[in-house]
Amino acid sequence: MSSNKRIKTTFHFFQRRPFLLTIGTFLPLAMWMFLFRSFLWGNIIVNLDTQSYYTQIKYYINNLLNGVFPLWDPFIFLGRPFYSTVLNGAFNPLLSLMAVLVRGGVDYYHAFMLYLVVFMMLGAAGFYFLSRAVLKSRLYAFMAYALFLFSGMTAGIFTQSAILLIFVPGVWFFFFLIRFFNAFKKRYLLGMTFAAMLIGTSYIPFHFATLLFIFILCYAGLYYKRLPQLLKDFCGFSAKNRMTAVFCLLAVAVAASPLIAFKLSDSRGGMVSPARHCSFKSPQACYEEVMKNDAAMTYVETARTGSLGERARLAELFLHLDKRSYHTDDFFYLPLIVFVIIAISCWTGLDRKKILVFIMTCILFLISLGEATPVSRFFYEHVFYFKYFRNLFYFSIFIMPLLILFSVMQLKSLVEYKMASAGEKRGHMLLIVGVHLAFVSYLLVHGDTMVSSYATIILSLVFFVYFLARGSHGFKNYWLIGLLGIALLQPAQVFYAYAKNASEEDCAIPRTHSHVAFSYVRPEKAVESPCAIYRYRPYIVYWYDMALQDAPPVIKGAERISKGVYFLSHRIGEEVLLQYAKNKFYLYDHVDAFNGDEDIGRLRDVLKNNKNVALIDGAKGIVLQDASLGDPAERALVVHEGSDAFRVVRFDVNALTITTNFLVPKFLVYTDSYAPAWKVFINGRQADLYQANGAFKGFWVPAGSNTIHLTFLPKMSGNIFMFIVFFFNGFLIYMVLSFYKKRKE
Amino acid sequence: MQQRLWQRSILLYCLAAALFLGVIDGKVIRQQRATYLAGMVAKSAEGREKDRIGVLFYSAMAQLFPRQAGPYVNLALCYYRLGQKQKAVSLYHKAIKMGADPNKIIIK
Repeated sequence: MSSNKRIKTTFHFFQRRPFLLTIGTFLPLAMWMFLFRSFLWGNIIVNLDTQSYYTQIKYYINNLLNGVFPLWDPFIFLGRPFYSTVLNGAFNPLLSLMAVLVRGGVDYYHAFMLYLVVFMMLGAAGFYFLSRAVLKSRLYAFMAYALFLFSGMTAGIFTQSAILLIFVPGVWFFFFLIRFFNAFKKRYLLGMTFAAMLIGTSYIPFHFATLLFIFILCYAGLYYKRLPQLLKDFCGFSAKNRMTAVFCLLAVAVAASPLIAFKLSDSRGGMVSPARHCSFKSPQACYEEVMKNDAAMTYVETARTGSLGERARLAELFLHLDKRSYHTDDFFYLPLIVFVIIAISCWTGLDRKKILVFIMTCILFLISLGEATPVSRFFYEHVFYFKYFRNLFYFSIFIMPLLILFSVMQLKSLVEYKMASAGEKRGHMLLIVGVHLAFVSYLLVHGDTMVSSYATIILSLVFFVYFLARGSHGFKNYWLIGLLGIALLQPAQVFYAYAKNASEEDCAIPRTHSHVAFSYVRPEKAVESPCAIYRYRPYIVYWYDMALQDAPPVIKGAERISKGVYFLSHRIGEEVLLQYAKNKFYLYDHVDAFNGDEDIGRLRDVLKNNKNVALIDGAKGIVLQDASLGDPAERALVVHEGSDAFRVVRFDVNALTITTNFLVPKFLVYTDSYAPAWKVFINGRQADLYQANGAFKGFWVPAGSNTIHLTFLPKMSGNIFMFIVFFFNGFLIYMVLSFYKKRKE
Repeated sequence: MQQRLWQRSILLYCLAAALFLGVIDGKVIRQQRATYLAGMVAKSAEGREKDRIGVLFYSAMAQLFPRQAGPYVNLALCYYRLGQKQKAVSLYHKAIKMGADPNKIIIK
């Protein structure tokens, strides 16, 4: 009986018993959930980038449920645009599920956990379908899925959300790509389009773009004979389905528009990322570099830190596995059996698919090593976007699944391999025993190895020796389930140890719904938390956004802040800034022009001693008020609380409304970052808004009773964003319905 | 059908190994790893977490400076604190053989 036929028979056995099939499919997932139960139930909170992701998602959904699409974040770093909408997959329809859960009474953290797990499962399912399309076998695809579930790809989601944001749409893109070029059906094109839309709004799409580029190059090299026909078929399909093709292109353009708008506004230099760009510079050099508004990074910045070599050591794939820290996002881990299979299958035959997967893995691996190889420098010099991203270790998000896929392909070849002679069989036996002995020796010599690693190797040796003794014709497919059981021994112990290490932290984070409340004064000192996770990342970046509360005006550790605030903190010192910006409103009688670096001493004096004069960027358009209204040597008025003369009557994250009643005109400075998209309306009429005192918003308020409305109105308004959110949801529903309809037919 | 050597996976493995040996600078990787872990050790609080990261850090250092006893002494100390005493003793012996002063180790 041929191998494919046997596999079909095995599956028919399960199909006749759906209960067993369900258990088989969900058993690895149930086991995974059991091992990570402390994370899922919220006893161990998410860390590092996932915590940052949770913060942004909580801020986003909390504000949406408050009836506001958040575009500005007034709580931290003295105000900055809420950029996460376009960078962190806020358009993902799954987030709607999270919003529904929160509305239904589930707290934010558990709703987020459910979202993470469902998203991860979608990725695992995508990997299963991709493996099935490549391997042409459900059984081996199931093995690939289970190995994926028990690799660093899933254990890393609690510290590195990029795994999901980059991998999940990426794997589905490749699945639909393969299906589309096999069958040229509209629904697969829609699938590809939707995946591309998600990639365009998920963090940074450059890693995926690199993978796709490498795939196209390798495919063209290995399957060059097929290319003309594929192109011809593709052109034929496009000509027949013009409307669909145009719709898909438009859909990708719509999805990419927020990111493009963000990049365009970013290139104007209103926001800077000192913490991102200055790892290898002195504060002064960093300041000059950042203020020059050069968004591109040097080669050293992109390649020296964040490489895979920095985040993982070859030996740590096998040793010290019980010492994996929850405070690093370097969970590069694959079950031991993956390496064993790759090693013992060295005698199996090659085909183009295997070569393609193997070469792609090698190229990605070499790029991810950064400065340690000339490959990443080559890409840096010849591919323009390599200057705009770092953290090359993110390529491991693709390397791990590719290695799993390659090992399962090798396993399939091994199982199907027919020995030509008794001599070859003996040679193969020697190879298997030799490889296993080599692994055991390595582990014994280096020590600090988990018991399950030895158990895996011994059981694997028994399995493969028995398999070889019986011969491939005597092989039963359910043996593979046994091999899978052996394969999962080690990851189970690794995950158990990981969860145990992480459980040492006792942390709490805001989980409940918050309503924004305005305060006239910012706190001077940050709330302190004994939680260990804040030793690694600034507490300020997380807590206050989650709680929708004002943070102290500290900018230490800021990754994105307004250029003005960065300028102030560097030139006048953080202490002066902290003292000045703890109050949100100052009322001045005088204004004067501020000429940048020349006036820095004067600005420091004004802020430190609270002089009654506001300094405004550039002299143009400033109407100087009558000096008789007050003495510039006197102090400016500080608003500590609301009164009949000054009161904030309405506040949300994008806007605030103030009522005033002054005897004389006053120049009001609101110590929230200035941005050109902020507008001020006094009694319904737009007034001039200036960048005052180096970084803040300032404008003249006439005498008498006034209603002032300050609002953030970028070109990409909340309504456009809401349209895009609905567009994503609508696209997904349409796509699911078209697949469902086809399946029914 | 009998497959030839160039049709087998081992050829791919050998080519990849040759490529990696040719282009990867192992010293740079080890230095990057050690620098990263040093930062982690510095940030972590005293206790088991510091010792666990310490094991990773001093293992990387031992690989970077294989003839120096210092990393082995510290590695042994981390293992000792983590309760893996047998491993700690064997590392102490190794460090002493490499020239570490046994009195100082005992004091530590």
